[in-house]
Amino acid sequence: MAEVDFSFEIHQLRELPLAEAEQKKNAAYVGGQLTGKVRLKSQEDINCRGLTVELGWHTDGKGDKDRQAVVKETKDLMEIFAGQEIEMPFSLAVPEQGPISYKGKLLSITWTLRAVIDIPGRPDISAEEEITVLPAVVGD
Amino acid sequence: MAERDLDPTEKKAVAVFLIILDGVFWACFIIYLRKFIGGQTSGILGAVWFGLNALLVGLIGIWFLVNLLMAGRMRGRLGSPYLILSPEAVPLGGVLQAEFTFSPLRRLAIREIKMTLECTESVQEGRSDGFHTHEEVIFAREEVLAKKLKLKMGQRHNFQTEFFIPSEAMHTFDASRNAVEWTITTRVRFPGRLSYTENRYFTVLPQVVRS
Repeated sequence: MAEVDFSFEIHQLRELPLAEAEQKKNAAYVGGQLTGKVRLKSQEDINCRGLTVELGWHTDGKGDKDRQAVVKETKDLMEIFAGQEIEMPFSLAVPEQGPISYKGKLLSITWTLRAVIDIPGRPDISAEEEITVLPAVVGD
Repeated sequence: MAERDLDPTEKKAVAVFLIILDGVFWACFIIYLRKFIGGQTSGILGAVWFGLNALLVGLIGIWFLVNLLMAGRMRGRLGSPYLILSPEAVPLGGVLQAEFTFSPLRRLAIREIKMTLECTESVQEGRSDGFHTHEEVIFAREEVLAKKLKLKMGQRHNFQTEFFIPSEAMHTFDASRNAVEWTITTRVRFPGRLSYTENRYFTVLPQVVRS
């Protein structure tokens, strides 16, 4: 399998104070947008169909796992050349109904941003980044 | 964790189970007795053992049925009680108002009226013998609305309270195997061990009130 270096750049939430924003790196509000860029660089040539960035959540804990890929964006690509840096900006809508990121006693909910290179006839190459989804802030 | 009553379906299931168990014990008792009378066995201990069990289970069953009927009668005496929750969907850090209203159909003595707010995690785990449900109450608040009441027939009684939903709590979540549920339970205790219980689910939104 080709070696690909992925990196995610996620725009910080402007509404959060700086100290809180540091703590809640890679955060988004329910009903808001998660924006940023994914960059990748391959060490060898790859024939592919495209690069997809998808946002989803899954549960962990005592029960069986639930998971849902909520939203995705795809960039059509024919080939990734060795040493070429590819950048894909994304803007993904976090659903209003959530769920928010959660760590409980029997279950936890984790959001992940996943970049996938779709390669025909071979296993896909992917990387993940954890995202914190926060409740939307409303007035009294 | 708040004390929990069996709901009517569970009570009926227990009653049916007791009736079947009692029937089995009586059948065994009769079989043993006939064998003993017919001289097929000299031991009477089996018949005595099954007879005592049949009596015991029968008595528990009768007590259970009387309890079920009396609880139904007491519920009827409350005269169509109803619970109003406002707002219907509340954000984290918000306040839920609960109002319990009823008009007794007869004179009525009440030991206590209590409301409980609970947030419960509920997960299902698939095993070779089926699904197992695990539940854990992760947040609970209790409010006693009234104690030792003697109410007259026909008067309308209204009890209100407020519950604060913590801003750091989890909102209502419902996936196929994992859930977080919020409930308000109203419990009216009558003299003796009788009570009326109403359980209501409500929605907590994934929104937090700005502090």
